[in-house]
Amino acid sequence: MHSRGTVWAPPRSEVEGADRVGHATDIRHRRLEGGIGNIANVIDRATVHHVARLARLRLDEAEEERMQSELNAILTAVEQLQDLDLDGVEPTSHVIALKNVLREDVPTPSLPQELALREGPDVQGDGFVVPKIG
Amino acid sequence: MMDATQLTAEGAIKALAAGETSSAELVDTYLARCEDDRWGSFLALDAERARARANEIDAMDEKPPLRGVPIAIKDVLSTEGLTTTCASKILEGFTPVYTATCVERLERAGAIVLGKTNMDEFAMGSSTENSAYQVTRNPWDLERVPGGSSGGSAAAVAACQAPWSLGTDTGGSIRQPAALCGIVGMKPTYGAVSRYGLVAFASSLDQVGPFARSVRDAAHLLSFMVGKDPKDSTSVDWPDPIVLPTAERLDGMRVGIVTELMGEGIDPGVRAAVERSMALVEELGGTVVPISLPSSAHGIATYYLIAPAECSANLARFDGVRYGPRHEADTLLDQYELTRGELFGPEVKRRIILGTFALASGYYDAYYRRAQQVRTLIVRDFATAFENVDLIASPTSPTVAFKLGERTADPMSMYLADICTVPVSLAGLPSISIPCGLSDGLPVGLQLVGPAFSENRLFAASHALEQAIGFNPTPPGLS
Repeated sequence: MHSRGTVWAPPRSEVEGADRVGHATDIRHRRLEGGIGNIANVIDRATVHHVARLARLRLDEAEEERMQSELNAILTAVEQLQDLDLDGVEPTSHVIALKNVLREDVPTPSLPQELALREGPDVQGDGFVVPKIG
Repeated sequence: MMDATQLTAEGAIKALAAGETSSAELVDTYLARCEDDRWGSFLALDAERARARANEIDAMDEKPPLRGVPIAIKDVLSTEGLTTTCASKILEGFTPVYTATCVERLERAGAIVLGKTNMDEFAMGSSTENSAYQVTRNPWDLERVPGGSSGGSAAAVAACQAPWSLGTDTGGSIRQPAALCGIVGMKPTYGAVSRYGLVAFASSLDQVGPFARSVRDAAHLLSFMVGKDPKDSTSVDWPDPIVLPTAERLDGMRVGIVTELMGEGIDPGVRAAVERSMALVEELGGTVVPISLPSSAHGIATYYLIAPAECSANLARFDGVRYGPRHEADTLLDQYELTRGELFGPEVKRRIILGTFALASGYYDAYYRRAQQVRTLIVRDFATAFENVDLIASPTSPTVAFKLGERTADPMSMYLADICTVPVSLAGLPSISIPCGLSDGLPVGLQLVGPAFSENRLFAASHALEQAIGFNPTPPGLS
């Protein structure tokens, strides 16, 4: 792991690590600022704004400000984990030993299209309507 | 007319079998109580379908095992044709097109869904105050919280609006409200109950479990829900059937009491009630030994990185495209951001942002990966402890029910409500909270934890203790 208190550009594999847990991110195009260790400033306003955009959340200025102080308080509280010696400790992502849970490759009925579309706020024909991208 | 305030599900089933009441009468009795909104337990009632189903079961020659006993369901579990909002504006009016496997299994066994109960939005919270719709009040003291996130399901059972209910537990969301409302709440081993149809919060932690007025009722309800579901690849083949506990003694049972959770930070009244329970363990023939879970001190820090990280991925699906209301905008990106920014509540946004941050490259190793490593230490602590004891005991909650509004301004103070339950969730272990006495007139919960898949042992010991404690789960002034 990188040293504390520095800002560094993630190698490609780190980005893939983040993607593995299912988090859609384009963060490799922009480094987070602030570094780790200086807790009072782990998250500055720009970081809150940036992370909120990655999470597709529009916050107003008052919300951003409140979020910044609350997140810093939480990150200060979780800072205790930084002091633990975790060399050689494997991470746990799942507590029950499961491996390759597979089923027979046989088609089974799935949700009818009409039902799958039923709750959409704007539906046309066999699709959901969205505004243009960009 | 049956007196709902004195009834367990077991008593109701017996009365049905003896022909002393009908499912239709029971459903009417409970629906009348559900319409009383003193407690704010319910977000939606399904009166018409519940009555129709009751009549259907009453007319059957071969009745299903639960014989038409009513149940309340937390609003995070999908119910076909009945709104499922997760107490969030982003799912306002959403009506699922299918029913969660666990609910479907209970309905097949003859349970009748009365309605959907209030909760913290997307199950994030410990007081039910994060609901976007309404406040739920503790039936023991209307100025206090019922706990959370399954506060509506706990309050409904404590207020005798349903003989039992379903909740979900990610970091304590069944056990803590059960403790605060003076009833039994049980979180099964991770993988015991299918999560299909449960709106996901933190997928490596979420489990569905029962609330009830007795340990036997909790065991009975769980017995119909466990087992592999092809629609949830993390559900497991259940090893032994769940049996209704009958044990009266604890001979040979070794119970470890967690020293870290019996000192500073735990209310003296809570500690005293738990200590009295430990004396009862010995009176019943068991032995009590102090044990240490050194890494549990890091439970909250670990949990509040892992759970938000998983939630930030799971809640990405709420984007105003396929369900729920949306904020119309000219571009797709604006529509996403405005819909999510306006319709998620503050705690949900806080956790999505915290989780997005913890997973971001540059921070992933320092926060998310480290938390997963500490999770390993917590899992090992429990494994080590179970080499010498059969069950582990602690308070369920460090305090009794707190006042409405007391902790809403400070997220960290709310997070600490889960200090006793979170380590167990991280280890995926089965755990139950049973009422073990009062402190200042408010219920105290005793948490018992067993090794993975030791549900029958856990129920047996809890049942023996429950009989010895003799707690009356009906709040004063209710009957």
